[in-house]
Amino acid sequence: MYRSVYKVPGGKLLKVQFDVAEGRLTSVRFTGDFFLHPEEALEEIESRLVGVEPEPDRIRSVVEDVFRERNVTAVGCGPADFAEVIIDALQRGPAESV
Amino acid sequence: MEELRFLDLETHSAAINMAIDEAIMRSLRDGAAVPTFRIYRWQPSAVSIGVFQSMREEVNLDYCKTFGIDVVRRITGGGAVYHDYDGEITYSVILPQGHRLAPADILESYKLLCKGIILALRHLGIKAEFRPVNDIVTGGKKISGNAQTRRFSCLLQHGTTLLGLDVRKMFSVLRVPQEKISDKMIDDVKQRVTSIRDVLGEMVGMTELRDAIVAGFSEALKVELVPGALSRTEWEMANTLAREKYSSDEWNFKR
Repeated sequence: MYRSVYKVPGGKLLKVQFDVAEGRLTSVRFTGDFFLHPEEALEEIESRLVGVEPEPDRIRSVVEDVFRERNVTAVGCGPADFAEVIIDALQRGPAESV
Repeated sequence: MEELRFLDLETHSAAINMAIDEAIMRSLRDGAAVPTFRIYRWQPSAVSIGVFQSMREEVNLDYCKTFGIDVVRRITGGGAVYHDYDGEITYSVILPQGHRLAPADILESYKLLCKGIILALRHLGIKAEFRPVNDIVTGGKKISGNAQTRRFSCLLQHGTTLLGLDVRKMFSVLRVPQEKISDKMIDDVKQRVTSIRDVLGEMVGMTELRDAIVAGFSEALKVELVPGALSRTEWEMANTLAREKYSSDEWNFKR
């Protein structure tokens, strides 16, 4: 399991956990005290990230696509933060499940 | 003057409180309700978490179970809130999209609706201000937290205003490692969060806060709050939502 927590400067807390199986992201779950409008967009971001190669540019473009397509407004964090917290978790490497 | 239906201070369980908000939104969308302002308390005392938070990560479930504290996931974002029965009043305002008091810009709408609490606090003699995105602060310390969602062609904003604050209790209910509950940590929180009684003394009562909120929102929103009640259909919907959604593990433990 990969995990990371990111405190958005002057904003909210964004946490992620996921796995990497056969070179692809899987079981992506974000949690935190941020706001997303519409809220359903979070599940779409999570499901669209599943199956994506763990490459920063790919991750960023998936998140940006959902934000653009669903006209998502984030409050307390931005689209880049969702990608960066995953990239940070990848850099930290897998951790034992708690 | 423009009117809002006003549902005066009531006390409900966490599931019913959250279900009433959603039932009003759904009814408003269907043309079966009018724009509404409600104030309420939580009994038993309860923890509400933001729609994207993890119940297990945020809430000390063992403690809540032992002491009979309700837990519920909100449909709004934001953080975990401890709603002490004797320590706060929660409000909700439900407006149709496009309403004068529901600007499309999220920050602007928070600012507009939070003015109700700011004026309520002013009535009590507390000078407070809006701190983006969703807080109200006095002397730099948070005294009210607010959260919004836009669903069912409506805007819902609800928020809590602290009458009293028991930091140790708050830490017991929320998941903070017990060894971290040091005097220093409690002092740190008291530097960031405050309550009406912390500012004005212990004499301020629930009724005074209720009166101040009613006056504050009437003034800030330039509306007449017309006493009303939920329709039978809204009650039935709220009871169903409370039972099938807001009491369910499927919803509350979704994350």
